[in-house]
Amino acid sequence: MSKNLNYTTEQPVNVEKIRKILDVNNGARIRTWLNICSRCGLCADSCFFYLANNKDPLLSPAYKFKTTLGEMYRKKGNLDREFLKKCYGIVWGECTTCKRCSMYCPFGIDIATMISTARTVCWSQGVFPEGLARTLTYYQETGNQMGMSEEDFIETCEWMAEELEDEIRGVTIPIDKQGAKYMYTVNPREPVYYPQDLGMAAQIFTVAGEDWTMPSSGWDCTNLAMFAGDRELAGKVVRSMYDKALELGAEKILITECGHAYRSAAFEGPYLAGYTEGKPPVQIVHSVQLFYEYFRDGRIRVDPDKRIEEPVTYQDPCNVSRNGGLWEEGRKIIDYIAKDFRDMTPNREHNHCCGGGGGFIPMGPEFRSRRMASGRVKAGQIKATGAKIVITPCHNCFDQITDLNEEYDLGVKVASLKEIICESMVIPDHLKPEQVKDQD
Amino acid sequence: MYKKILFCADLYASSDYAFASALDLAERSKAELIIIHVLESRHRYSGQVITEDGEVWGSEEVFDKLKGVLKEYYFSRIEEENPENVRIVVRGGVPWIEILRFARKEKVDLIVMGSYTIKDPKKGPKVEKPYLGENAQQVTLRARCQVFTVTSPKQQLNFKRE
Repeated sequence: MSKNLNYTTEQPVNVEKIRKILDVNNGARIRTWLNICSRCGLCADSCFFYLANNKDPLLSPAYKFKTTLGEMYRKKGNLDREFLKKCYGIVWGECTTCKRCSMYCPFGIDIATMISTARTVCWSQGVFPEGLARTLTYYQETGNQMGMSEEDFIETCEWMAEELEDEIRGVTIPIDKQGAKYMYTVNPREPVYYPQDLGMAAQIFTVAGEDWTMPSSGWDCTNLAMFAGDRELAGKVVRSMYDKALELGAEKILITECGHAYRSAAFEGPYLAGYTEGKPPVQIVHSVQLFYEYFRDGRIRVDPDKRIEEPVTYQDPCNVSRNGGLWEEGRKIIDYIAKDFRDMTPNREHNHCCGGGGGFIPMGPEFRSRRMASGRVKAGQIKATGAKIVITPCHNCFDQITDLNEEYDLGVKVASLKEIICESMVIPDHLKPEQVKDQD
Repeated sequence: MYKKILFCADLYASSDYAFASALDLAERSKAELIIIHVLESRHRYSGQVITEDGEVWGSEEVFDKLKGVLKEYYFSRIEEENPENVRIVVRGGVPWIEILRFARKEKVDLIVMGSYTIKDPKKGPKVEKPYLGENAQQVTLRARCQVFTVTSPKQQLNFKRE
């Protein structure tokens, strides 16, 4: 699979720089992991790349980390371009760092972390996917991965609030409100490509009577620098979000329906941003959790006539379910909203990655064919449920399943939780615009 | 009558009638005519856009090249040489979203567009049949200004039984 990928530079390899990265990471954990792997092969069957590609042994997770990071240590950082080129294909094109293999490894070896470290080494030598590199330039210039200006972001929020005036009375999208309970952060894909997602969030928060705000900066909760291996920038990205929440005195940071943003903000981000105890300075909450609480506490009610009749399935995003522990909350929300829920097999923390994670989608068209090929496992899982609607609280899963839908002719509708909640929730009378009330 | 008219260009002959209408209205109203073209982004996670050369990164060069093509195509349909009151704008993203975003930002008072565009020539709608595409639907429903969708004569519905 390593063929047909290009990387960006032919500069001489800086061995000193590589050794520095390897030394910093040469702790007990990585040393143990590299030595303890007994090549039992249990990780192989857990990996969707391996399963989707005729069980090619070169795609077993153990092989992938041994031939990349393992070799980097064995060669004491003395690497050449040919080797880095081979690593490029493996660390970005054959692993989404979904961490499923770690669950099946009898020793619990965290292969994704090792692949991430190998990515950092590649990154340091200018060996990285062009698509990811472009987003990093945007992070540096504008603080978000799509280069959206603050003015455009605020205008988009105002625009969406205007659109909602006809549906919910008094709806607003507050910006930089001091002391709110939740500072809501989003994936730039929302204001840029799906602004109605901001509107849907505003509807839900208004109906639930939430005390919330959007920040004018630090609103991008994604962290593609984390997937690119640029740890310094990854720390900067997540720190700007934390700092904004502290500045606004927000009680909690709410993460939109995005998987890796949760992983970054709640789990890896604190370390990247220099919080050495691994705890973020402000509590992090994922939308799945909060939306579930709204239903549980009766702050949002479902219109019984609007419960979905068609069969529905749920795609567990790796970084929300397996790596975030929130696999029940999404299902409980669907219980309120849909009549015919059909789980995929396997599911919850055992679910397979959609095949678009780990930065795969923003890596761009160069990686598309292998993304589609490896997505065969997910396509098969969805097909087997017979579901007509796939709900997923992750933008990345949404895009990947949308592509798989076309590629494998699945005939499903892909939806976010926000979308189905907005379609089925009861709008209380006091929030209905006058003309709607009259019709009722 | 109008001060700013936004014409949504797709460089297909099917929207030539829409352009002729937009131009006519702009000349009568002495309005500024803005020609906007949005290069569709299929991967809504990255800045790749679809062009005639396939899927490419939406760089300044790509947008500048398209501006040149648009200028050549539409200015040749305007009698006046180097018209001053005509502006060409190129964006990348989801067409109807960028059209609405731009229209709101620029406070345009009229949007003129064809009734459909061809996303994928292999799967495109039959042009001789009446068809209202996603962009025309969304812009018509959501814009806060007037919207004209102009069909070609081949597309018009009639009451004759086929």
